Order: sequence, then C-alpha cells, then structure tokens
Amino acid sequence: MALSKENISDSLVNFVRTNILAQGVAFDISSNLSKTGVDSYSVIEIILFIERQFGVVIPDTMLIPANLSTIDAMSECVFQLLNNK
Amino acid sequence: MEAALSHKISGADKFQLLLDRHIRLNQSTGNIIQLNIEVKGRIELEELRKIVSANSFLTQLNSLKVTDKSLSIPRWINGEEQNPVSVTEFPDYANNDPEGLISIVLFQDEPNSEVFIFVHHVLADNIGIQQIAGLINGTIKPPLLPFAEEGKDTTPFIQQLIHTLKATLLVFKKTPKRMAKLVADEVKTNTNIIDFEEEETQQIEENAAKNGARLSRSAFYLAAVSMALKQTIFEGNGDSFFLPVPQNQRLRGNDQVAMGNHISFLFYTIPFNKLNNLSEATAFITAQMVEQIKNQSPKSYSYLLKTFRFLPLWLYDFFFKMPTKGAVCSFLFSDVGETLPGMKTFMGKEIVEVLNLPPNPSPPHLTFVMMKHAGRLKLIMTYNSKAISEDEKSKFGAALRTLLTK
Repeated sequence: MALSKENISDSLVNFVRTNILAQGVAFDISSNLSKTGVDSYSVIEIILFIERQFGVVIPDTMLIPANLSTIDAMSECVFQLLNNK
Repeated sequence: MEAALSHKISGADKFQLLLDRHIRLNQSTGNIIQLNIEVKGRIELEELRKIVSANSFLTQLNSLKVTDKSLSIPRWINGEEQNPVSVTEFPDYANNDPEGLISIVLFQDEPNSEVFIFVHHVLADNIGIQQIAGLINGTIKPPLLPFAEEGKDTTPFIQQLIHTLKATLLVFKKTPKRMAKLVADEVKTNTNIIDFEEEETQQIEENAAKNGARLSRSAFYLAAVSMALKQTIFEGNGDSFFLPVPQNQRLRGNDQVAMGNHISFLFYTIPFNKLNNLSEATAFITAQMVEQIKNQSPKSYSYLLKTFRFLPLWLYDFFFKMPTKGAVCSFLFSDVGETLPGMKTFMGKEIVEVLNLPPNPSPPHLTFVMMKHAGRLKLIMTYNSKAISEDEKSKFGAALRTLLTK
C-alpha cells in the first residue's frame, strides 16, 4: 500500500520527538524546525532517517531552506519522491 | 539544586578539568571561557553586584567543587561554604583572586560599559555561559537543572567498547605529522577578531548556499578558514589538516539544562589538494559530516570521553611530552551559531557587541570560533603569538575576508 503524506509526517514527527527534541517541547508538523531548536546537525539526522525509512535520497536541488523548514515541507518532498519513483 | 549534591562528572567535564590542571602546572591561566557583553550607557558596579549576589542559583553554581579521589569517578559536590560570585571593576580585578568557578568584571568604556563573564570550562560549555548571562539578565529564570541526568545506557558493554576503540583509532591514527609550524616552546595567547557587517554577513550566507552549503553553513566556514590557513600561515607547510569540531549533544529545544559540557566531536581530515576552491572544499567537508553522522561517530567519541573520567593527570602530562607535544589536531574550529539569540538588551541597556571568547588551552594553541549576534558574523581567532607572526595573522584575516565575501 502506498504511503500517504500523513503517514510520512507521522513517522518524521515521531523520529524528531524521540531522537532530537527534549521532552515537553511543543512540536507538530507545521512547527518551524529552526525556531524549535533543530539545528543543521539534526536536519542531517532527519535526512538520513528519511533515506533509511523510505528508501529515497533527497536530491541537492530539493535541499533548499523552504523544503527543510518544517516537517510538513519535508513530508511533501518525500511524498513527491516516492510517487515519482 | 539539592542540598547534598553528588553527581558523577561527565567524561567531557573531566577532559576540561585535565586540560585546566595541566595548563595551570605550566602556565598562569586556566581553562576559562569568556563572554563579553558591551552595552550602550553606564552599568553601575553596585547594581551589577546586587543582581548577581541576589541570585542564589549563581552562588550555588559558584560554590560547586569536584572530588577527585584516585580510582573513582570524580563527582560534583556542594562546597562547604557558599561563595558569592565575585563582581569587580577594571582595573581592580587584577588585585582580586576570586573563589569559585564564575567571575565577573565590569569595564567602563565611556560612554559604554562592558561586562566580562568568566566561567571555568569544567562548569559550562558555550551554551552554559550564555545561560549564565541570561540568569544575570533575568531572561532565564531559575530553577535550572544543574546537570543533565544521565539516563540508563542500554548499549551493551561490548558495543560501548567497540565505540571507544573506533574513536581512539580515529583520533590517534590521524594525528597529523606536520605540526612543526605551530609547536612552540613558549605560549603567548593573543586574540584576533574578524568582524563582518550585516550586509557582508548576508553576502557570506548567500555565498555559502552558492557554494553548496545547503545543509550546514559550518562546512562552508570551515572550508574558508582551512583555505585561508593553507594560503597564509601554512603556506608550504604540511599536506593536510586534521581537526575535531564540537557537536552539541543536548536534546534540542530545552534550555533548562545549564551546566557541564554536553559535547561530542566530528573529525575532519582535509588534504591540501582539496582546498583549491570553496565549492569543492565545502562538498568534501559536508560529505565527511554526513558520513560520520551516519556512522554515529559522535556517539563513539562520547564513549571515549567517558573513559577519560578515569584518566589520571600524570598520564595526560606524559601525553603532552610526546613528540607532538600533546597536539592531536591541526587547529580547533567551532561554529557556535547565534550567540545570545534574541537578547537585545542587557540589564536594560542596548547591547552593542557580544564576543564569545574560547579558551586556548590545547596544543597547537590555534582556535577559531565562528559566531553571530544581531545579524553580524564574527570569527574569533585565539593563537600563540610565539608561533604565528603579526604579518601571518593579518594575511590570514585578509585572505579569509576575501574568500567569504567575494
């Protein structure tokens, strides 16, 4: 069964909550990652998780600030990549 | 903070303690980090003293001690006496020998005032010292957690051992051969600040993106510093750089855990033949960064640091007497990012300048810190003026400015 964008978002939010953010930090798919305290090191961790979990590599052309600003934007990229496979 | 604190010191803290003890045996200064805040207008010494002495959390932090009995892990404990943080005015501070781990000096630089916050590196890293500034400013409210609670490590012992061995091999196998340029018998630390205006900073950030630093500007900054070093100070010396870059191990979004060092490291090997242009160098460094995050190298190094808790000073001293004189890297580099983010005023006065000054305790005594405050980037370079001449320092600064802004 194909993954929906919501499935992807849920998986990414769960990864960020479990591995990157401290307990109790308010966070959802539309939270600005940088303002939440997610730095570039952690963004790389999220990208590596996407590679492992969904088997897609985000190409350099998609690595722009707008696509890396929220989990919603990242999920959209992954969704597009999975559908264009 | 509990009345009877007894908290195991972390490996990263012990490492800073060893560095401090070693340099105090050989030089006068210790392993101290410093944050300078310059404001418009006059801060009165008594007002600053009143604020600092009224903050019981600062007093408690300043009164902490480290037990260090052989064959046991050192522990943080509360000192027998409460030591209020010393607040003195320049030049009187020179006659003062403050007790404890924190000290504050006020400098009246008419019409401005500068507050210098000094903290022993065993107590705080770069984020910790900013939180101490926030406490004084009232923008961070106690109670803070004095130290991160160590969660139960579920990693099997054998895997921990493999991580430790992996990190040991990484560090010691790659110790650079060519340290001669910077190994001097005497150390005289100097500071050089390369300051960029807001427009220049915007240009630099655009250049970072153009040169492929899409994931991390740090890779671009490190590429530029390495290229400028190769072109100037290391011209004709050596064939590669090897360096650790600190990586914040705190869980993100939590500004409550204030004290101790919460860092691991990424390690970069940068051959000179990869330093011909910024795009190539940035891509080369970024690839190493991604590979090491993938391989969990910072985790491996954290396990190595844990073993440092048992390292006695004599062994550390022996290491310093080896042919490389304790230098396991070509230089130190850290991109601390936004310093005092969002803080526009200090004690009600407009902040005009912030400087995050690193200690420079480890050979080869060449440390770079890239920081940003109020939209302006700065590179702070601490160096040994017995190994690097004024001319070399100036040429380095000019080369770096050209590389970053053009």
